[in-house]
Amino acid sequence: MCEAESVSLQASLSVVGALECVVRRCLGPDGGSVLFTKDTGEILITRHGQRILTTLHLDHPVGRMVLECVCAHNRVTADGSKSFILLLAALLRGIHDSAIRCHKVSRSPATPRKLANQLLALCWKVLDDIVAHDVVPHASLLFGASADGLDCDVLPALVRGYVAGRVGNAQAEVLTSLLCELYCKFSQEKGSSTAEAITFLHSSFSLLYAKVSGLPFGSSQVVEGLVVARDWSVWREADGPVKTLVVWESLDKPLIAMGESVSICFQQDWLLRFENLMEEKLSKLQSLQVSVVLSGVKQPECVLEWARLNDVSVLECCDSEQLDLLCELTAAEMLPMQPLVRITTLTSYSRLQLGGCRYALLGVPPHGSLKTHTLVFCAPTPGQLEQAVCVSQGVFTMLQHMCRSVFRTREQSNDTHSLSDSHNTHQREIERDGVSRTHDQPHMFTPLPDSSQSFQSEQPRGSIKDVWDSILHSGGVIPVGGAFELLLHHSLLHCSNHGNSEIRRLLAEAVLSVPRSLHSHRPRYFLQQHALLMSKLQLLKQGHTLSDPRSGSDLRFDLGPAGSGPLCVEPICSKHQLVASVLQCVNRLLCVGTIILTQTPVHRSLRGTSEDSEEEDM
Amino acid sequence: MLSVNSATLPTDRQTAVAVMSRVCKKAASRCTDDPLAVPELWQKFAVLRLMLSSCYGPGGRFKQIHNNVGGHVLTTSTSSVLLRALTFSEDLLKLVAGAVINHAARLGDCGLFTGIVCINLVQNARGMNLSAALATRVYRHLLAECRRYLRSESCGCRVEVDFSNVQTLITLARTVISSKRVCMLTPEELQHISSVTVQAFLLSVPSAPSDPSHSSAPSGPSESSESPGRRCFGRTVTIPLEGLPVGDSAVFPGLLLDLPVLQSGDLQRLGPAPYKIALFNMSLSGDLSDMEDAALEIHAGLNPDQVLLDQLLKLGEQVVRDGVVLFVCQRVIHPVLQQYLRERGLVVIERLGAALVEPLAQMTGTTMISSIYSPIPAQAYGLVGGLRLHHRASKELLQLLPSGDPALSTVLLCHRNQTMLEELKVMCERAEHVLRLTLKEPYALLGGGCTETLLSAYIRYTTESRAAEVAVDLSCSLSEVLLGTESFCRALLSVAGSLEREDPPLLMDLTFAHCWNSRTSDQLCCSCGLIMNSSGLEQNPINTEHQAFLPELPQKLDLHPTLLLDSFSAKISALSVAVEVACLLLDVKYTIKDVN
Repeated sequence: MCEAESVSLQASLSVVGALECVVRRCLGPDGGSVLFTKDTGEILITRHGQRILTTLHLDHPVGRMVLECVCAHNRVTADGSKSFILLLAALLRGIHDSAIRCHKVSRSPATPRKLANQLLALCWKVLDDIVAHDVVPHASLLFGASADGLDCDVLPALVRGYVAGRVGNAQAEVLTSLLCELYCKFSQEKGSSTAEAITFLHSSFSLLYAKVSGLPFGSSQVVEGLVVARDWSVWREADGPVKTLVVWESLDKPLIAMGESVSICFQQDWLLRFENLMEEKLSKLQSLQVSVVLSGVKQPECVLEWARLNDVSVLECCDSEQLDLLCELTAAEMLPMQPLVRITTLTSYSRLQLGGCRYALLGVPPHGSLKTHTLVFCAPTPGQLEQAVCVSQGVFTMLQHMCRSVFRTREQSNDTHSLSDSHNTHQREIERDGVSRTHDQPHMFTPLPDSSQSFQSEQPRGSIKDVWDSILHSGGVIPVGGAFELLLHHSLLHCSNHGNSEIRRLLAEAVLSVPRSLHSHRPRYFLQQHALLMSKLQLLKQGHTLSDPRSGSDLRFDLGPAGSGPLCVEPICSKHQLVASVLQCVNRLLCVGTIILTQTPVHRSLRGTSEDSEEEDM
Repeated sequence: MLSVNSATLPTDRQTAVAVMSRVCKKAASRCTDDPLAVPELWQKFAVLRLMLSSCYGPGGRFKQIHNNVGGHVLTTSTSSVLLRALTFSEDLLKLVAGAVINHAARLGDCGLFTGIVCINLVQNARGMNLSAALATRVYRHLLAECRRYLRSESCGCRVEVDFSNVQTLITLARTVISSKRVCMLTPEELQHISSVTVQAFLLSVPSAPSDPSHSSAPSGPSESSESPGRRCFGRTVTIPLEGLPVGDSAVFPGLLLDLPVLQSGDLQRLGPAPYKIALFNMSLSGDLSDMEDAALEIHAGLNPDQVLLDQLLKLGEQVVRDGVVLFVCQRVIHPVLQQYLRERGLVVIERLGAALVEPLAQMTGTTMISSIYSPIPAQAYGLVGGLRLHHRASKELLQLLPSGDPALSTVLLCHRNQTMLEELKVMCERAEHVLRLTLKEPYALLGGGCTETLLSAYIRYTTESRAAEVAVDLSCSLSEVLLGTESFCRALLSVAGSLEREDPPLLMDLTFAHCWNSRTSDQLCCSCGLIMNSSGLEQNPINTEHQAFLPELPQKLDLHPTLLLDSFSAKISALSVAVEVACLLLDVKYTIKDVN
């Protein structure tokens, strides 16, 4: 028997409202963290939005659907799950209010759904335009004049902005400098490209860290080489580049296999035969002249004895993924006839003392332009280590997403503007904005030419400095704390040529909810900043430049209560993606008419095939 | 076959998970909003703090832990032993306990200090109504200030460890061992145990050609990777022996083995040292444990046990031929082989254990042998510098002397009963750990609460003298900075205060900011023993209002043997961990408990 339950906007709102209450506690740098006790009794400390939501074990179908949307969004940007819930709640509330208002006038029951559809349409048609033409140019102008001395700080500012909302203040500074150090050391070679380092770090970060509990967080550091969380089974010291054998299976594996098929019998010479086979194999190894053996599994004692007698170091039970990575980095050669054995060369190998444990440290030769380093996290408790790892992984996902979207826009602009004259894209965009501007104000554009150059440069991947420069100048980043929301709010209210004004107003109001709750403990400060931004925009519109070259960075909704502290920025593309994802989620929520509670399992493939069909849920 | 296996495995697992999720539905998690606002939690915090602070110091009371259905009774006042034995109902307390245990595991000392400071910091912040973000900022600033001061040259509570003179090392060891009352040592016994510990420590420092500070501490922070030329610490084995007076404790270079049956007559018959040794790390019991996977087909009339035993005896024959005197095995040796070897005058040692095999191999220069099927290569044998027999109580102990560098030494610890002996063993290990830490940072801090009073006086003074500046830096108001500082200093002083539980409270002088015991104020020195004369010093009970002042440095440092010294590295790390965990606790706004 199935039970059916009709879903009203009210119900969704109450579910999302409950989630909002949890999430609001941990929003931003002044928020707190959540202490989570796993069913195993393990303690985890987190501020990670998605993690908090997942650990709640949500029961209500609406809640689970929201969680699904959050996870999907998070997979792309690794950012904004808490803002997602806040924005969603604000939008639903907005829709609810305006539905009531409409109801009084026209009494049409389908209004919420209609509003949601209109919002989604707005998202498809107009949002990209607004962000590209109103928000991005302003963001770039905010930094434009103050480019000197700031560009090299973009990465720390980005990382700081990300980290500050996810770990306690005490850890944030340390973690920021650690991650920047890791990135810089990875790409310190000349001619390396940002994207390469970021992509590599993003994909293999899980193999590039080690954890030590019991030491203060400040003892964390970046170590050159690859740390394997095992001690050497046989340890012989040696210098310089060493020939290394990498194996994934036990070296006596073929013998055992033979034993299974041949059947061993106790004859006078059997014991000797067993040994002879093994010895043959080992002498073959010896002829390769390796001095290090890295093994993915445990090796039999006789192999270790052989190693001891021949001064070969052996590392057993390595993580096989780490071995794969090592082979990839060192361009290991295969041996003929033996699929699970590789030969490679390490620059050095040593023992590393971390906390109470000994680890193996392998020196890896530079791979292309990348130099392998490992991040060693120290923290008093294991829960904090977990948190630091999770946040670091997120940082690289965020950077990866940003790089990708910056390159995408760059390629697009290459396509569209390659034939245009040297005047850059921003001028056009700002003019489209309806700002009257004449060409007798050329200084307006002085900071921009180098960005136009990088836009139109032929090679898609520039050097490090160029990339961060262009990210800054093309408006890829914006100060944290609500600048994006305020700009979007402003643009939505003031662009008259796009869509339904009521829908735009709805979205514009909802968007402000995020900075509002971010600054909920000091509403006055928020209003001041709002006013400051508006007046600045006004000035820009009137064609003034920002007189003070550093004034761009005044526009920081800062972490410190009085607006001091280092600059933090966030990527615009994540913010943009967030608004789009939330609008889709709203639409998805409001399309649900009825929830049918079934007793039979619902297969994943059956559900969610189209946005318009009714959602089924257990 | 293999590829099919790996392909089917994940799908099996997936179905298993799917079935599980259908069968048992996960219960919703239990959530608490703002757990720090719950008054019961503060009671629990206070209980834990009282428990820790009553264990602290030489006057600390010990705790007995026992299950109410019977079983072993644990008597201790050591933080790591105590906290490991307890179970906590509150997750926040579990967090504190975890941090203390982890800290103690890494640095060996100052576990109670970490716990007391941490809980005090949290309670004070709460009591003074400081917001979490604000308290975090102020605490972080003050911590950085403390670390800077303690590492600076002008620090008044730091003493340099002089490696040319063993006295400072003995003082350090004595302070650690004397900090626990369970050990019940008389002053003479204390002195003896301290010097034994220092002796063991000195033996474990490898005699590298370079100076000893190059060797890496085994549990120090992470940067000590071993480059060629650096060597590991040797191992110190501790053998506890119950029932003998403490004065019988001693250090033996090499390995001391407690052997159940030893034919002492054998030893007399041996020729002059050194002796050849063979070391096996595989079982010589003659079973087929290492080939479980293979199918066995046994020919009629053939006895597998006999075949293997023949093989073992062949091995024994070779060993005898090669003139080996000492035959050591990590695991079990077949009795027939043992008998065979003994008859030929060899000393046979079995069941040595994995922990001792590696250091023994290092000490004797032996290569461990792991196969019985091939002849033993000549280079696998090592040398023992000599064998000596010791009689202690009813036991016969065999000492294996090193032939070269003693990578191994043995401490024989004696005490009157088991409880005291266990605690003494823990304390001696801690003392050795603390001594090793001095090689990385050759400093010690004044003990007896003087470091805490001095540090708090310094922090009060520096913050007050530049409070306005600090307030701007931390973007908070002047009064908030002062409140945070007050809270921090009180947490430090409460540690000093835990040293004295009876009534007249501890005093602090207003010149050097050292700690004085008011009952003994007619005596001539402060708690740590550095300041000799109290006349003319104005003294205040600690935790009372006084004018902020910069502590003066005493004119000359007289490092006399009755001084109290604490570990430098451990205390700095402990302070950092305490502040970090306190910030973490204050930051918790919500708890989610998975009740599945």
